[in-house]
Amino acid sequence: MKKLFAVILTLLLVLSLPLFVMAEETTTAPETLADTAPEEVTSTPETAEDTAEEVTESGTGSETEPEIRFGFYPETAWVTLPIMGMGMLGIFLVTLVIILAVLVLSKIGQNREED
Amino acid sequence: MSFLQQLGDLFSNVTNLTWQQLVMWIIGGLLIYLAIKKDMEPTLLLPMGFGAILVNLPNSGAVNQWVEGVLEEGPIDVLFAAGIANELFPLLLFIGIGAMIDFGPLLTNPKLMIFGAAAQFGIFFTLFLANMVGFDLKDAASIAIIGAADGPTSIFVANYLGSNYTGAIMVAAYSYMALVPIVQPPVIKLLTTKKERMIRMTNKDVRVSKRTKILFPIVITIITGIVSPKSAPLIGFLMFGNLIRECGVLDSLSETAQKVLANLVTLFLGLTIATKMQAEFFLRWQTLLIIVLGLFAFIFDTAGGVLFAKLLNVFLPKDKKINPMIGAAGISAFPMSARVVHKMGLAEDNSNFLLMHAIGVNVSGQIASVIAGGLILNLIG
Repeated sequence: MKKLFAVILTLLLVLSLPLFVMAEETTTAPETLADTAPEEVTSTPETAEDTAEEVTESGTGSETEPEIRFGFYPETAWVTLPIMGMGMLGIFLVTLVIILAVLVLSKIGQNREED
Repeated sequence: MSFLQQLGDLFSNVTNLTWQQLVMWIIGGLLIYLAIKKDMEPTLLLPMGFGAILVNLPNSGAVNQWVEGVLEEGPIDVLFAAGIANELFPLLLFIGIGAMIDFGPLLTNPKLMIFGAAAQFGIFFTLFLANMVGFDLKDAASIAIIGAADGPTSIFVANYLGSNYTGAIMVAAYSYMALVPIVQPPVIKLLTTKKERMIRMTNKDVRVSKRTKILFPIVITIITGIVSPKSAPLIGFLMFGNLIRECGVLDSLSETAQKVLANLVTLFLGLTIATKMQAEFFLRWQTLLIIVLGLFAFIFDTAGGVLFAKLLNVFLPKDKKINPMIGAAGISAFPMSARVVHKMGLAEDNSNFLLMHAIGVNVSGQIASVIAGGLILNLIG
């Protein structure tokens, strides 16, 4: 089992390298989306902060009818796939760190009890 | 003015009633029915159902109304601004949830946490799907977080990202959480063989020290907070609730958090979220699409957990195989998902008790879903 986790950890780290390179693109996702998706897709507020302001000001949030044209836009995959990869990789890495931390904690707890 | 005219004026508001509001009454009634008759998440579906009727009365004073150019504030909108727009209610609820969770089963076998991570696949896959059908990235992320199977996280993320569909997202999130016993079994059965479902897992007889239980919430908060700072409030409040449970010197606070605080916040949360169920915001065909995407999120979460367990089994020795069904418990809907897995295990072999393993995975799913929410905010917010 320990070997298996070591293999998984190594694999994740190796796989993460190209994704970290892609991260730079991910940070500019709204711009990329604007290039690839229909105009309406980009009609959201610029940042979450802008949106938060609207929510606070109106009290009930900005529930206006969004101007979104629904359909099938496979080109958006170029934006969401890196996010998907980064997200899953991020979860696995954080989880592995937590597992290691818990194993250390358990060891400390056991040693103390034995003492 | 004749008596009849006065009587007519008295009831003139009836003419303001729209068919959309009537539909919302029916939806509200349906939520109340599901809560009472079917016992589906009654603590939230009932207030939401009643709230849906309340805010859809013509010119309802419960929500903000413009009267002759002057804004008359409604109490539900005031509550929304005070507790949801600033993400306070979901966070307070997390203190109660943290105080309710015993991380013991997870601490006895921490490796189970990996399934909690795998079972968040549905969130990111749904983000991919929602964006592909035309939702903008922030709305797609808010819809995807339905797959966290965790109401407060869904509210927090959707609100933070300023989603246009908070009402529909909430209804979908809580409805599917209640529908876990219906949604998960077919997916699990589809992806596993009978032989796999009968795999027995040994129960480790490990005693977790009090020190470990106390340090656990602190360490998790630090690790998660550093990696995903935007999830710090979510994980922090959850783990604070757990710390007051485990520390052993705040029993009274722990009990208050588990019962009084959780109940009070749930009461306000359910009623307040109804402001997003006003007919003009809710009755859109996008709502239907969100309900479908939410179902996808739950299905792919389940599939992610099960398939990851199957993948691990390829590498594991014969006597250490994992029952792949426990992977499905990683979706966080606590404790329904663990119960579902346990019952399915018993149905295949009535002496195969998977409960402790499933609970361990289930509570790890709770942590993983919060991490997923934080990562989404980091990547998109």
